[in-house]
Amino acid sequence: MKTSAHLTLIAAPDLPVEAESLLPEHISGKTADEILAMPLLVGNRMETVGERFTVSVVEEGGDGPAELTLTGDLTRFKRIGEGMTGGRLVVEGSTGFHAGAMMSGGELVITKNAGDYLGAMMSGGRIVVRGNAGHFAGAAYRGFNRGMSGGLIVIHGSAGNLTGARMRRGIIAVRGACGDLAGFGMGAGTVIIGGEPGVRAGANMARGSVIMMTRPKEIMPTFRYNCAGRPGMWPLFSALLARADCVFPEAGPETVFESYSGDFNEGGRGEILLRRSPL
Amino acid sequence: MTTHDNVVCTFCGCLCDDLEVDVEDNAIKAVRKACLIGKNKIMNALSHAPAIRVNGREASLGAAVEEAARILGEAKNPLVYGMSSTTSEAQREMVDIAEMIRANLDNPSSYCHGPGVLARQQAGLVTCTLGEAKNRADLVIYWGCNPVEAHMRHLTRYSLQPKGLYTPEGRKDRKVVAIDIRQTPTTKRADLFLQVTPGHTFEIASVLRALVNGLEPEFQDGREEVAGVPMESWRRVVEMIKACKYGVLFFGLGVTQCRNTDINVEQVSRLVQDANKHVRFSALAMRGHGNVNGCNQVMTWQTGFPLAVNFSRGFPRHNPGEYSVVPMLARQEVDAALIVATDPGAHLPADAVRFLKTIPVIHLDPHENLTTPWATVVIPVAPVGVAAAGTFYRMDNVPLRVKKMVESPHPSDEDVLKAIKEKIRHVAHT
Repeated sequence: MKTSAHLTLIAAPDLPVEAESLLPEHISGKTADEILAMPLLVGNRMETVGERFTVSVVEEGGDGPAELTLTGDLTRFKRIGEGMTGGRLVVEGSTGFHAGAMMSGGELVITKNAGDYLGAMMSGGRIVVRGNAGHFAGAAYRGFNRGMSGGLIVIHGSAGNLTGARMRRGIIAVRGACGDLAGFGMGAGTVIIGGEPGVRAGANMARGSVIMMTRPKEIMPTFRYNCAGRPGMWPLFSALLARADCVFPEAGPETVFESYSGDFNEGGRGEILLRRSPL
Repeated sequence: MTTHDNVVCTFCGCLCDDLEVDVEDNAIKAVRKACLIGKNKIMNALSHAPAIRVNGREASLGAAVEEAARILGEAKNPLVYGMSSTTSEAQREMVDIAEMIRANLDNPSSYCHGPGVLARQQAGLVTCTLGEAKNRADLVIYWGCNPVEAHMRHLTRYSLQPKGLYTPEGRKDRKVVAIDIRQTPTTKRADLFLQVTPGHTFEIASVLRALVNGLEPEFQDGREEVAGVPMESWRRVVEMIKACKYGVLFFGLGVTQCRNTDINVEQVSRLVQDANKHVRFSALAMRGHGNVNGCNQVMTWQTGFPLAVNFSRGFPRHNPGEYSVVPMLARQEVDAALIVATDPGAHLPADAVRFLKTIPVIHLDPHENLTTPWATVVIPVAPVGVAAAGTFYRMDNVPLRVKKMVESPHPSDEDVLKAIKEKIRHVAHT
């Protein structure tokens, strides 16, 4: 049986709530009462889901991964979708810190904004944010040297600083503007920025790619210009992102990109691809 | 009259430990060798103590401790904050209390030199003591700091003028570089002053790294300059680095609070690491408050993390931004606060102070300040280094013992915090 549950927030809390228990795999096969009895950490006290949400559960025929929908202003809810391994989690509203952090599978959809550390250190799965994301999307936590190592993050709005910092694999696509230091210290993977990028994009990168559709104010002097051309991977990337409903209409398959190598302080094997505006 | 020798001043991170203080009839009569600020701090240490108050009314110490324990015990997301001007023994009690009540624990370094501490944890930092700087450094770089006005005896005791083992001529044996956004009394003392445009610390460190590593930066816009300073000057700095025997870089808030904070310091740390491929080179943070370094030390050996720690699950978790004092208050997500040895009314943003005024606040401080008028519970304490003894950590991580020279009518922070802790424990058990 495939379980679908819909949780509706009764009232927005005053204190931070840690909601890593609200995962599709945790509600699979559970009754409404069992879901309402699941734990939430509110401030420093344990409460139950039933003290904060109303729930409706539908058991459908056939096998399939569970689907969980959360509705309400979840800005103070942290860790939604953290450690998710499968299924589908839809948040109809905004989330707080760590949404989808460490996830390894499944799909997380956030219809409004996400807080800091969206998909931090995730290793697989897909995250789609219809609004904006905070700082450190797909990045490594403090003290760690490996950020996101797989999967896809699509942000339709803008993203904050250090997007993809220290990432090791995977793709982050930001349709809007991006903060400073996108792809900082990255070892592999791809960050694509549609809107205006912040300063220091790609700084300290050892490998990987930062693709920019809009010319930044400056390119770090520790990068060197290579050439202009049509990278063979762009049509493939473009098609992959289109399947995730993320389109960069300004960059078709024939678009010319300027290529820069860097950061030479870290070996210079990373690349910045900058879309060349048509004359 | 008694004269105390080798007294440690608790004002700034220099912790000058050569002061002489005359005491007669439990009053301080004279302070010698200190800077003007240090002298004033010691001379007036016992003045302007607040009354013990609960909800604005005078109360006994026992009643204040009981009310503090009740507030903290009932709080669902409390904040324990401060510690920068008290002893490490008192700081240890604060960590204990934070763990017991499952609180958020932070100190003022989260908005001053905390980024430097985070960068040190991320990338490592080649560093030294002030003694090494005094005895060995023949190249001194002041970057984003103004010790002449902020650490008044730093230049005379440690970094610029003193005659050291390998710098017998003092100032004559040292080359000095200053990097700052404006001319200051410190930059006037430098052999080479580079006035940079604000917000470019990262680019400067990156270009210096490249030059130290023998790489030539490439400027896409054709301008051969970084932060408004021509490349020729940066090449000269690198020549000075490579030519010195022992270099020390002192960095201040101009580096740690520049755009992208800890990432700047991380790049500066890597620059120092790269410089060590050629010469011996160290970096030191110009810590501000007397024992703000002690906060980081104590929190690190008690919780594993130097700042921004959360105990809501019963074990320490660390995340600057999430558990840092200013963002937490901006998000209005704490419901009580214990604030010791710092004055949030004077230091924190207006919005944060406005929110603090809406929740119960327990405040321990030796003096009336901008927080005592509105705090829920006010407990005056003995000023450390004058009427209470304990341990302070200097900016170079050297611990020093501060003395008790006079008696105060008030208990020390450490004693009050121990009493609050025992009361919380008693209430929890009953």
